[in-house]
Amino acid sequence: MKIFGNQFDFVVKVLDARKYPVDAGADDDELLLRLEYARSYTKVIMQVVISTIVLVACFYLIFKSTDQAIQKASFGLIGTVIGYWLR
Amino acid sequence: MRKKIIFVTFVILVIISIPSYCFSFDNSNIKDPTSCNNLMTSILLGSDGGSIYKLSPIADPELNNAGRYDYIEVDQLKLSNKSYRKKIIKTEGRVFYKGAQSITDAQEFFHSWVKSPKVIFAIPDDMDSIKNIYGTSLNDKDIQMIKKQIDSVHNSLQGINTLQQPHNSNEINVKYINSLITSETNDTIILVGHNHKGLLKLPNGESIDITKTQKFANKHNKTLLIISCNSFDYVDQNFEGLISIERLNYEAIVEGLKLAEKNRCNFTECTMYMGDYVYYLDQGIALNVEKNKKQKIQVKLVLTISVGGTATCTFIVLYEGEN
Repeated sequence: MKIFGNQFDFVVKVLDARKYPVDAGADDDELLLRLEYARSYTKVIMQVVISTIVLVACFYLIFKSTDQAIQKASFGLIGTVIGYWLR
Repeated sequence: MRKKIIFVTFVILVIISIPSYCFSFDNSNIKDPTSCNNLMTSILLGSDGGSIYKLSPIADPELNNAGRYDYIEVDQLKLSNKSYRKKIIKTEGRVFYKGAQSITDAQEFFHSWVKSPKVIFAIPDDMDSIKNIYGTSLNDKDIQMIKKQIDSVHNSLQGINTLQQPHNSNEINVKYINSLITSETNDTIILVGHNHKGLLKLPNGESIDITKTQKFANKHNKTLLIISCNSFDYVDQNFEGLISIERLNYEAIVEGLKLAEKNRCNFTECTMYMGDYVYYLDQGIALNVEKNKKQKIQVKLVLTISVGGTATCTFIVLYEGEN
């Protein structure tokens, strides 16, 4: 069972299926799976965009805010985003 | 040393089933199938003494170093084993010639001429033909996605000027394919398409059996190259022709055809040996597959660097903050 890299693999599969939804055979299950991945393209783009926004916002808060609680929460959020992508 | 140099298009998969025979050049001398050690490996074909395809047998441990003129004998059961297939795929060959009778037949195949090939790319070009090939359960978005990809493949194909092809997908039907096989116009027919468990689906809804069509072509002494995913899984043990043991993208096949055609027309009168033609076809497909693999690695690298970089920056900020 893979511990790390599942999210990376998912992104790669989605991008590949988006580019090549069909190929030269050979069964219906594989076709439906590829189409399922291809449909997740928007989901992946949103994941990247939201992660970027959250990270930028957190780093901004860390540098600009003097409130320790806010900084702690920002570090926590950054850790959550990193953990999500490394799963 | 790059494995690409080591080329296994001509790894001949001679599928031996019981009962089976290994023939020497002298057909009266039938060998025991379990000891095919005396297959002829140096047969001069053709009166011009030109390209000589001397095929040499290799064993499993040598598979990684298989060259262009090597072949391996393997039985059907072994080739159904996934880990053995992965071993063959790692050799970077993409399409293989499967023989069933003798090496002589394989060598004759490689030594035949390709002068006027015709390609039939049995892919759809409108909504109805997409549904005919890929099923009626697709929604409009899926069909749009597929159409976008197929249009791109069609555009790439149009760029191969030297290869004859039907004007549109409506022309492609069983009758047309059979007429091409029986006519004298083209010496080589290349049939590419989506196969569903051994049945190649045509844009008009018809389908043809890969094994039967190849046999029909062999009977009429017509060279037919069928290129489709995992075709090996659905051909019988007596099948003789091109097979693949993995998934193939249309785009990769187009690249293979482009490379083969480009090299064919480097020679006088645009003629070359089938062995060379299939070599370039395979090389083109392999290059495209490699390119896709590299792109996937690049995506993973970008993601890893982004996440790793973020973690490092966070650690530095935290460390600086504490100090």
